Amino acid sequence: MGGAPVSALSLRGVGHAYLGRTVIDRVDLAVAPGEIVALVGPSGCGKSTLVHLAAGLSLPLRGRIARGYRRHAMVFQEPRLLPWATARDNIAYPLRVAGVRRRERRGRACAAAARVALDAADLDKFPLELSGGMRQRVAIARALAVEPDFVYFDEPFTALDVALKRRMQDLVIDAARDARFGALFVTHDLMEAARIADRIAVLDARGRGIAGERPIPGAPSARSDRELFELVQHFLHDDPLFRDVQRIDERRLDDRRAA
Amino acid sequence: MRAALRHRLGRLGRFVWSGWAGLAALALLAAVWQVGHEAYGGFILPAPLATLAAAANLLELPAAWATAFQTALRAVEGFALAAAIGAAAGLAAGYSPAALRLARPLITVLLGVPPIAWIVLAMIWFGSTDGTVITTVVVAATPLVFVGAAEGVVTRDRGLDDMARAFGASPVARLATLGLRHVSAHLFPALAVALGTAFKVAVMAELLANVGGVGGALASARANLDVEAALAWVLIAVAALIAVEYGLIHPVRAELERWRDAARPWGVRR
Repeated sequence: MGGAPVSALSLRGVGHAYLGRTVIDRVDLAVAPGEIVALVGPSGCGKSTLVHLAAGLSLPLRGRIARGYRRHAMVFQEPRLLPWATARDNIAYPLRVAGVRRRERRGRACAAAARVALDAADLDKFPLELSGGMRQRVAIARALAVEPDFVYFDEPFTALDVALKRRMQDLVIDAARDARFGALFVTHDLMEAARIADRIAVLDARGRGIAGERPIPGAPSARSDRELFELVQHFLHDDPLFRDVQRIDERRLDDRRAA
Repeated sequence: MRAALRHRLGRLGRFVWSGWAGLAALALLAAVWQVGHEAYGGFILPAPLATLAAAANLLELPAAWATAFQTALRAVEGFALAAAIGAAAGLAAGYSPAALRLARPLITVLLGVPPIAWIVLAMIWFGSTDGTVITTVVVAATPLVFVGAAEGVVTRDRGLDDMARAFGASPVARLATLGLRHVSAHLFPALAVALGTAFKVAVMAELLANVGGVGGALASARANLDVEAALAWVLIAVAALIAVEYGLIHPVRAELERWRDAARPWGVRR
């Protein structure tokens, strides 16, 4: 046991392969405590694989992953709720796994639900009875319920429409400000990355390391839409780092990999 | 709390109310039966009311209760064994793809052998004892339970498993909170079918092995050409099965499937 690590999360030389095909390789990335890093890159470049490795859902083939945080939580692209449990029990599920007593579980689940503005009346509903946005809200509340100091987001809002997406992003921004958690936020939407993150890291289009990083000035909650729009336009038109991010589709990438 | 109680009472009321549909179906069956009786006479097909009366008379005798209890005990013993073996093996096979690949052809073979062949074998091995009946029941019912359990494990949502792992759930916690809960939804229908099979096979094995019970009573009714008694025994066996199915299996399944019911609009519920 050495001194407290400087980074909440640090990846060094991480690489992974599925069935012999290398998906990502030589990735170095560090996230400071309380910092939100958005990981962007075109579809199919291995962002999800990277976040699954970082969260310990699979073991990397190469490299080292050091986790300096106390407790992590995760929000997936799909809500991944237990269909047979009510919203309240879904939010409390990680607490149940952690062995928290039933009464305390209930209180903490209600508190987490309040932070994502879920109605008390909806807590007794089953996921089937909730809309897509509500389900993702429950998934975020579930992550907040464990009081994490680090949260992994794996393209959590891709399936939502634009207005809903914005509200969910505001939710995450507020929750991060209040609860002071760090996060690794995977997305392929540059606007989303610019709104939420302190720093944007771009994964190489073929997963060969981090192509580059750009800090976003100001606190996430203090940025105006106009600033963000201009920043994203600048990234897209003038910054070579972001050239590939929103252009390549999966098929062409596969062709390039096969070649 | 009060809302939950009211909700539960409402579901119970709906369940009881749906009994009218079942009664209507049984009344239709009785009507067809009555037509058969009037066409062919009381010797070939006794009237439904006469059969009911015969069954009621039978159940006034303590000996008849003992006979029915003997059959029920054998069927339930065999069913319990089949449920335990089938569920354990099914879970193991579901989590191990290699075992499942080996087990599938074996299940086909086991299900392909007619129960009557098993009765003959069991009679040679165990003679005219309980063992014959129970063995036959176990052999007939285990594959059904096995397939249900294995199917449940195979169709589990791996996304949920990953989610639980992301929140630090151990393999045991994942099995307890996700695996078994999902498997039970597949296992319960399989158990219901297995229980029905257990009763039917037990009666058949008793009849052929001549070891008493309802099957034995049927055998003597056949020897005496007593159609009324035979039908009365069939009625009693079916009634026992219906009681178990609607008293035990349906309520438990409804509890497990509550979430599926929740999203259905009014009027579609049943």
